[in-house]
Parts: sequence; C-alpha cells; structure tokens
Amino acid sequence: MSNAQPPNRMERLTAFAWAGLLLGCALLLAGLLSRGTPLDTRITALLPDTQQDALIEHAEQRLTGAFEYRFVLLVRGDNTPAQLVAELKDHLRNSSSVNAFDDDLFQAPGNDLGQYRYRLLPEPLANTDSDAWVQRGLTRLFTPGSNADPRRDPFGLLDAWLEQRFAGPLRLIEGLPAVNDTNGRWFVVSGQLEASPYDMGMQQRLAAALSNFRDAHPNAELLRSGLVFHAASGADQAKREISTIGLGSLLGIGLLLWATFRRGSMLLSLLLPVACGVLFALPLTWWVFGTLNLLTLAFGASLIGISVDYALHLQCARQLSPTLALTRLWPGLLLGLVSSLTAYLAQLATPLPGLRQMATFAALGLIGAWLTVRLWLPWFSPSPHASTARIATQLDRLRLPSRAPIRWSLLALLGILAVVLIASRLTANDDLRQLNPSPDALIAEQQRVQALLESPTGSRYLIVTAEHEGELLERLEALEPTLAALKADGHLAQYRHLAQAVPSPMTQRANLDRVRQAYGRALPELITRAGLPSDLVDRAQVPLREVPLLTLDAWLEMPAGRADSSLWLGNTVENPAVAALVTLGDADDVAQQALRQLAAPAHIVYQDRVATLSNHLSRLRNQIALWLAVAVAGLTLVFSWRYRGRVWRVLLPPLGALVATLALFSAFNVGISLFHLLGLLLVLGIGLDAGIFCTEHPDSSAAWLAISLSCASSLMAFGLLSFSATPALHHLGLTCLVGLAATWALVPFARAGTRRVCSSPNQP
Amino acid sequence: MRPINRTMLLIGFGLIVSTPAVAAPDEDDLAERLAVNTPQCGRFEQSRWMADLGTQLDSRGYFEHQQNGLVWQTTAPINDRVLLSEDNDELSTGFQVIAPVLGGLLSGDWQLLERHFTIELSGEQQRWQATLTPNEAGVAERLTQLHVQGSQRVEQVEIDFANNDQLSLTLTAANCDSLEDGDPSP
Repeated sequence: MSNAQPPNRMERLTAFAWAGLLLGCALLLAGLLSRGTPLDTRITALLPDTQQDALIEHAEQRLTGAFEYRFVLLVRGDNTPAQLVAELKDHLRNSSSVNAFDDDLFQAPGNDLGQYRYRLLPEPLANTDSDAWVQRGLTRLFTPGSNADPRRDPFGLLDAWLEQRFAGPLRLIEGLPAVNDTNGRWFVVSGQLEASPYDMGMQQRLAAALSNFRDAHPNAELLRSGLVFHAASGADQAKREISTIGLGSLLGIGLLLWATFRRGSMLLSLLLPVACGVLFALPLTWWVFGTLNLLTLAFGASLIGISVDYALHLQCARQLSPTLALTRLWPGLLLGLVSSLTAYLAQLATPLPGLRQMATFAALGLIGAWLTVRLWLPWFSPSPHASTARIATQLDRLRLPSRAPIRWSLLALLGILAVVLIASRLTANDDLRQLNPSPDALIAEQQRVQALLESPTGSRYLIVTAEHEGELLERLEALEPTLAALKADGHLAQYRHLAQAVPSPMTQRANLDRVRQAYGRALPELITRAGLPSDLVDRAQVPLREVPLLTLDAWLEMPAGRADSSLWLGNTVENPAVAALVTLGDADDVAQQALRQLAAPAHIVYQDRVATLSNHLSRLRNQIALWLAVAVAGLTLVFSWRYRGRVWRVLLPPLGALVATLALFSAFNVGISLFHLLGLLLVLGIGLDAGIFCTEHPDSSAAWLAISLSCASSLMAFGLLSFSATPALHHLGLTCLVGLAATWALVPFARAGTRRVCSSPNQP
Repeated sequence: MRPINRTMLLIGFGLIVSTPAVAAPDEDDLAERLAVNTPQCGRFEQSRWMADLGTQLDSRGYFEHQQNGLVWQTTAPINDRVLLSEDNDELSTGFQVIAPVLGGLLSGDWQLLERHFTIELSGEQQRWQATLTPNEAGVAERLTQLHVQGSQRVEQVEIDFANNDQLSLTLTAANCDSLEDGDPSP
C-alpha cells in the first residue's frame, strides 16, 4: 500500500459506523429472505396508479377479478376426448394449482329459464309467419330425441331463445365442452387458479403439471390462455436474463479490469464498493416497498455498474500518480455522485411505482458504493502493476492534436446534421406492447384461444348507467343494433351485455303479446296436423296467462347467469343508481370510431384500456423529457459556477452523446419510448462523470483511463441489455450502447488543448 | 390315456368350441358385426308416447348416413327433413346431448355407445338384446334407459325419457337409390 494514510479517529469511527450499517442491512436482507417475501414479476407494476373515476375503477376491478385468476386450455390428441380431458384435469388437480374447474359454465340455463320463456322471444322467431311456427312445432314433435313438450312449449320457445342468445362456439361433444376449428375439434378445460397468477410457486406447479401431461401424451396438442402463462413466461425471462446478461456483464467487466490492473487485490477493491452498494440498496428497497420487482433487479443491478466509477477514478489516480493527495479527488467524486443522483432521482417524481422502486434502488446503491469508496478505500491501496501505466500511456496517445481543424469541423458538421435529423424526423412511440414481455408465440396462442372461444379481450368496454334497472336494460338494448351490425360486418370480434340475457321489461311485455298472438294463429293448425288431442289448444295456452318478469337479480342468481355477474356493476355510491358493462372483443378503426360515437351521451362511457395506458405512457415520457431538460439546465448552472469558461468541457460528453443517440434513432426511424429516455438518463449520468473528471483532471492519463474503463464497463453492463427479449430493457440497452460509445468518443474533444494548461499529475 | 377319458375330453372340447354359438353374445364380436352390417340407408317407423298428454304419435320415413351427419326424413304424417349431427347449430342444445346416442345406434358404432353407457347384453348372438344405462349426468338428465335389439344390425330401439315419454323405433335396411320410391309399409 504505497500511499495508504493511517486514518484519523473521526475517519475510523465513520468507517466502522458504515460497517455496522452494512451489517444491519445484511441482517435485514436475511430476515426478508427467510420470510420468503415474494418477488414481483409484473411488468405492469411499472404502470401508473391512475386517478380514475370511481365508476371506471369499479369496472376495472370487476374485469381484473374476472380475468386474473382464470385460465383456459384447449386440448386435442389421439386418445378419446374423455380420457384426454380427465388426465389433463388429474395432472392439474394433483399439482394443486387449480382451485376449481368451471364444469357448470357450459350448462344451458334451460330449466331455470323455463317459467320465463314466453317473455323471451328471439328476433328471428318473432318475425316469422304462422306457417313457420307450425312447421317448427311439427319438426319438434317428429324428430327423434328432441324434447318436445306440446303442453308447455309446443313451439320450442325456450330452445329458440337459448339457440339465439347462448349460441357461442362451444358445444357439448360426448358431454364435454368443445370448439371446432378448421383442423378439427378442441376440448376445453378451464377454471380458476388456486393462487395469484404472479405466485411463482403456483406458476411452477402449473408448468410442471402441463409438462408432465405433455410427456404422457406426446401427440396431444395444447393451447393455453390466461394471465398466469404470461406472468410465468415474464418471470422465466427475467430470471434467465438476470443470469445470462447479469453474468455476462460481470464476467466482461472482470476480464477488462483484470487486463488493466493484473492484481486480484485491485479487482477486489473495485468490486467491493459495488457489492456494498447492492448490500445497502437491496434490503432497504425491498423493505420500503414491501416487494421487489424482478425488473428492478435486472435494471438496478446494472445501474450499480456506475458505482464502479468512483473506485476506478480513485484507484487509477493512485496507481498512476502515487503522490497525488486524495483531497484533490474528493470534489470530482462528490460532483459525480450528485450529478448521477440528480439524473436518477428525477425518476422518483414519476407516478410509476416500478420506476420509483428502480430509482430508489439505484440511488441507494450509488450512495452505498460512494460511501464505501470514501470511507474504506483510502486505507486500501494495492501496489501498482507495470502494465497499468503502460496501458494508460498508450491510451493517452488517443488525444486530439492541438490544432485539428478538420476534426473539429467534422464534429461541428455532424452536430448540425444530428440537430437537423432530430428536428425533422424524431418520433415518439407509446405503443403499450413495449411493456409486454411475452413471446409472440404465447401471445398468438392466447389470441387463438380467445378467437376460438369468442371471448372478450377485456381491453376495451362500455359502461352504461341509468336511474333504474328497466332504463339500464333499455339503454343496453338500444346499443344492440349498432354492435350487432359492427360484428356482422367483421369490425368487432364480439361483445356481451346483460340485455342479451335479460330483455328490458318493456321488451318482455311486447314479447309476451307477440307470443300470445302467435299461439292464437298457429296452435290450432299444429294440433290438427300432428293429430294431437284438440283440448290441447286450451291447455297449452294456460301457462301464458301469468308469466313472471325475468329480472337481473333472478338471472344473476341462476348458475348459468353467474358468469354474467362481472358485467353488473350494480348500485354505486353516486347517482345514477345502476351501471353495467358491455365487454368488447377486438375492434378495428371503424368499430372504435363507432364505439366513441355510441359513447356520446352522458350515460355511456367508452373505455379503451390500451389507449388509456398508452396515454399515460406518453404523458410520462413528456414528464421525463421535461425532467431531463430541467436536470441539464440545473447542472449547467452549477457547473458554470464551478468551471466558468471550461463548462463546455463538462457538458460536451453527456450532451453530445444525447444528441448523437437521438439523431441515430431519428435516422433509423426508431420511435422514442419511455425506456429510451430512461436510457438517456443513464447516459447523462455517466457522461457527466466523464465530463467532470476530464475537466477536473484535464491532462491526467489516470482520469482518461478511468473514464475509458468506466465507459467500457458500463457498455458491458447496459449495452448487453440491448440483447434482452423484454422490449423495455432492449430499448434501454440500445440507448446506452449508442450513448456510451458516443460519450467515450467525445471525451478526447473535451480534453483537447489541455496538455499545456495543466500539469500532468502522472508525469514526474 | 384310457378311451373313456379321451371321449370325455373330446366332448368337453366340443362344448367349449361350440359354446359361443348358443350362449350370450360377445360384445367385441357384436361391435364388429354391427360395424360391418349397418346399412348406409334405411327406413324407420317411429312411435312417440307422450306421457304428459297420454297420446301416441306415429310417423315413418327414411334415414341416410352422410358425411356431415344423419339425414332423418319423415314422410308421414308430415314431410320434414332434419340433419342429425352434433355440429348442426339449428338443433337444440338438449338434442346435442342425445345426438351421439342416436348416431351410435344408427351407425352401429358400439364403441361409442360403450363410452356413454353401461351396457348389459343378453339373448343369443343371432337374437340379442341390450339395456343401456347412461354414464353421464348430461345424458341421464334426458333419458333413463335404452332397450335395443337386433341380429346382424340394430332393428329395434326403445328410449325411456326422464319425463316418462317413450320413443320406439323400428329400423329396416333399404337401398339408398330407392328411398324416395313409394312407401313400403303395409
């Protein structure tokens, strides 16, 4: 240890205090780990806690509750369907990942609706003449196996209603719910999960059950749909990437540092601050937020890569100029920390809980690493290796000659070109899919299941409100012609609302009148032609005298109606008194336009969740851009105060890198997303470190070596994220890759013409 | 070996060999026989007993197996044509439950019936009877039992419905080309 000075009492005390604090953090981490606090794998945790209308919030809760715990599997194979389905269910049941299978879901509501049938008249039957009614009655009487009931329902009103209203793609084949596609028949196994779809233990049990089933039936085909499969895939991907990208970057940085310093103790002194940073940040963030998002780990762990900067600057300076007083380094290091913290803490101001978590993690990690460098490393100075100085000298040759008009002109030209590109072509991208880390194949599988089952996507809906139930049902009925036309023309995949199951009281009255008239005209002829006893004419009309009104309450209490309960929002605290949902399937532009028009009256609200969230993302992107601008302006002021005329040297690497990155994205038509901006925040932080050190120590080969190592190690830490399959991390990584390379390339310009201005500390 | 023993052995062997010809029919054999002998087309006579009304409805007509299902053509007392298939959306959901049963019976698909019913076979191989009790709740809700008899193919079917209705079908094979020619019934 060439210049390790003996610490004074105060320094020793703070160093021990820091050690004590870290020990406390280690104990807290052990406690959290032993308690098995779950890791959060939701990418949507990044999304804002939006302040919404109470009614919309209620609707969102209903939809989330209805969708989150559900799963649907479609299966087909060589075995008999009953065997295949039973074995699949056995595997799932034994894995204790499934709470209940919805076997009742597909039962026709026949018996429960029996007494109401005369008030339920489907449109096609209502519009046919009495000959068609007679023919319908005769067919029912003479078809073997049809449940003809000439006394209670000679014309099959109930069947007609069920056919019309509940004629989904599902049918019972050998007693099992099934759907057809062009290549054959799929059998449906669906139900509710035992635990939250984000519960990783349950995800693993479910995946193992399906994998066992596949092993047992290698020829069986299986399609999956449900949030749980996306959550599991996201968790798997995040875990995989943490191990590959994380390990890759750690290995790369290790090799780079080893090649430069060739001392194990040196590597240790560089990695110690990073390790302490993680140890400080991990338990505290986990404890403060109560949960830890896997993305925070993936992003935050790389972020701590910046923390290696402080140790690098300190140790490079001491290796290359052992006589340098450490007090000369502290201001630069402190400025580096403050500028990085400014850039990251801006994220705390965003309403994204996930982002706030990442910012907290990164900020705590940086502080932890900085404190370790400041409090511990002065005591710890491994002896230098000759190759370090050689590398530094060679690297120092990479500087601009004192007069390099062509290079400066080229830089100016590139700068102008970049600004023009940005001004003319820069676009934004707020596509929500950038948040969806699911592989395309899984998304396609989900969409295929949804299309086969004609189930709503849950991503858009209408809310209809009214003073009372009758008015609500009338308002829902009024939507029917538009929605039916959109569906018939292929603009809207499907829709569902309560009035499809429960006609309004007014419609039910009108239906009963029409049924009575039709009986009067068609019943005598049916009875004569079929040869049935003539007294049946009177007996069959007895049930028509008193027919109860089908109410929403009655319907929602029937087993078949329970599935509709997610559509009923009921009474809310506010006026108007009742509200209901209309769930919608995929809608094209025509349908979306029509839906917006439908929602013109005050009692209808159209909610497009994708558009709403995209809006949030866009607002957030603007907010962060604003923060970025404010941070740059504030830092410029601070730096102008300290560096005066040399301030451009501090700002050239970070701002030049921002401009270069944005220009490159503009040139290649990459729309700027929220995550590109977060990447720019990182580039700004690292670029500022580089700018500060090349201005603080302009002619120091040690500073230039440290900057180069810092850029290279951060490139490995962040640039590798551009290989991430998670779109958000990919954007972030790509930005860092371009931005950090540009930062490094700009540093020689920032150092230009300084050789004679300052004395070189490493040259005796 | 003494001669008497050899004789007894021969008699015993003969008994064993000849047993299937006179004893209860074998299910596998019957399944195979039905699969081979079931006609593509045939005529039916149907009697429907409606317990609720205390009335019987008689009808007759012909049927034809087609690729997409079974065409059931009633010719008297009314003229009516229905495609009996699980995939026919025009049929009621209740009928969709019964469809495989009728399909299995009329197409001689004994394996299909064995999946849905517990079958008791009796009689002789050339004149057999079977009682079918449904295994599935969905089917049992509609019908309680089926009585089927036949020889080379299914000839007579009686269905007991849960609401005490009864349906009786008498089936005869017919040439597909001459189905619409006249009425063979007496």
